[in-house]
Amino acid sequence: MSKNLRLKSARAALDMSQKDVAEAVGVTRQTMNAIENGDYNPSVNLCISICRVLGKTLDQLFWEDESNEKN
Amino acid sequence: MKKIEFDELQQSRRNQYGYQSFILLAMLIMIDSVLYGMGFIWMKHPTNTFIILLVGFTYFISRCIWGDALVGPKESPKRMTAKTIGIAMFAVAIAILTMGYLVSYRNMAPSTDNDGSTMTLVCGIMWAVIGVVYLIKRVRGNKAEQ
Repeated sequence: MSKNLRLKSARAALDMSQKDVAEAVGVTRQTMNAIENGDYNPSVNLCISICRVLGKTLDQLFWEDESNEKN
Repeated sequence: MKKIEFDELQQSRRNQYGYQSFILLAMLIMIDSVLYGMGFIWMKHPTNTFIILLVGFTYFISRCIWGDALVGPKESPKRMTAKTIGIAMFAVAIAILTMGYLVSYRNMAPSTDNDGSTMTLVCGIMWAVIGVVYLIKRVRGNKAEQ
């Protein structure tokens, strides 16, 4: 699974650390790290929570089209 | 209903580690039974079972520490320390009360064979392994955060 760079950039745009997002969502920092690195495939509920915290849609953060899959 | 305190990655990892520990325990018990059947008694009866259980427990706890699945996201270090100290004190109190009851009211004498010292040694090794795993994980975690 490829790294989720869009999630990382959306987080950086809000000047939030992995720990800040993790606390807002209710998971551990290690879980956020695993999601960003593509080591863990989160549930839809967790994806929605992350999107709400970062002010993005599911498509913007988690939808993989052909160009994203190549990354 | 009690709220689950682990996030979804932690829950899935704990399930995985629990399954692995169960398989490990089953294998060790089978090996122990085979050895016993072949006439090789490496430890007397209740002690061997306790040691096998401790091995499975140590494996589960160590894996949970290594996989960041031991403590939930809402646990603060202070609360965790207080809980650990509380549980340890409760366990010591129960041990003293049980021993006092058995010696005073049931006229039981403390064991004079080596089972007690073997169990103490195995428990010590178990806590040492858990401590080493925790320290290595913490050092690696600090380096990763930097």
